[in-house]
Amino acid sequence: MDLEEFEALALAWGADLARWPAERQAPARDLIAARAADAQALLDEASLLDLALRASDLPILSLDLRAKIISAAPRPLERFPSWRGWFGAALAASCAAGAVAALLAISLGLFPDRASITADPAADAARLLPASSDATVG
Amino acid sequence: MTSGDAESEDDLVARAGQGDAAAIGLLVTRKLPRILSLARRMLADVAEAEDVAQETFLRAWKAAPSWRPGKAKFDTWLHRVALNLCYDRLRRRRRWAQDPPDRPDDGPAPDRGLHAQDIGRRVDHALAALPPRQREAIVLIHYQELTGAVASDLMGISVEALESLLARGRRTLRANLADIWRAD
Repeated sequence: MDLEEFEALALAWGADLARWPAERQAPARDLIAARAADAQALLDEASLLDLALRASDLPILSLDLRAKIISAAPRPLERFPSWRGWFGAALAASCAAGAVAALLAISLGLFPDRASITADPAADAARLLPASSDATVG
Repeated sequence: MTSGDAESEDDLVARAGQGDAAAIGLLVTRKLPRILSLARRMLADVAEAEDVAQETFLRAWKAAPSWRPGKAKFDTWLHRVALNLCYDRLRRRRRWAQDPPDRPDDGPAPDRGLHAQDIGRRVDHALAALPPRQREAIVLIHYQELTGAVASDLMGISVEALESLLARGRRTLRANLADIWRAD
């Protein structure tokens, strides 16, 4: 690298060699070692603009803006989200209650045992229905 | 940025996509100042910059649930989105080249040197007067502290073309701000 190329790089990338393209950093250091005064003068000149750029006002971060952005972020997934959760829970509860009631009714003999129903409806009726219902069954 | 940082950032984005409040807060804390800084320097307008920052994050929240780690760096992706939004607004203004924003003359007072705040205003003014591509190059390298490779990729140009934009931009700034160091 010669001084002219060094100057062009300092103009473009500034005085901080870490910003320079990686493959040019080592040759630049070699040049600094070889021509310290000239190279340093070019870096000093570039650093004036670097410093001026750093003086540019930093943005003032608005807490209101931060809150707005966060409020628009995704919401966590819920196990029972909104109405679907309540509807599902209610449905499950009523099914469970119905099943308990049916088991209770069977155990109390309120429903006929399907296994006892035969191919003869009249005989089944006579056997299973109360005596007062006999007239309705034919 | 180390690969460990990149992994943790991908992890943050994934968690944010699932609505993890802590990840969302941390991501906003880390990225909002950078995006706001980028937009403010590109647009030279605080309100517009805040709009751009907000819209950038809205897009990020949409992308977060399906974000694929390793496909692109989130920070680079966020810069790309913000820059596109800035250019949309600059195009809408239709006046950047011929008619830079009206600003008061922030030149030094005749009886005193320049204070840091004065210099900051002068620099903001000089940056805003640069052609947008030169301004973008300087903002990405000097303020966003991206590497030349990342910045040139973001801008869709070669590193050599980026270098040329930087050199022209810095030369103009140096000429326009020369009185700053002459005043010392």
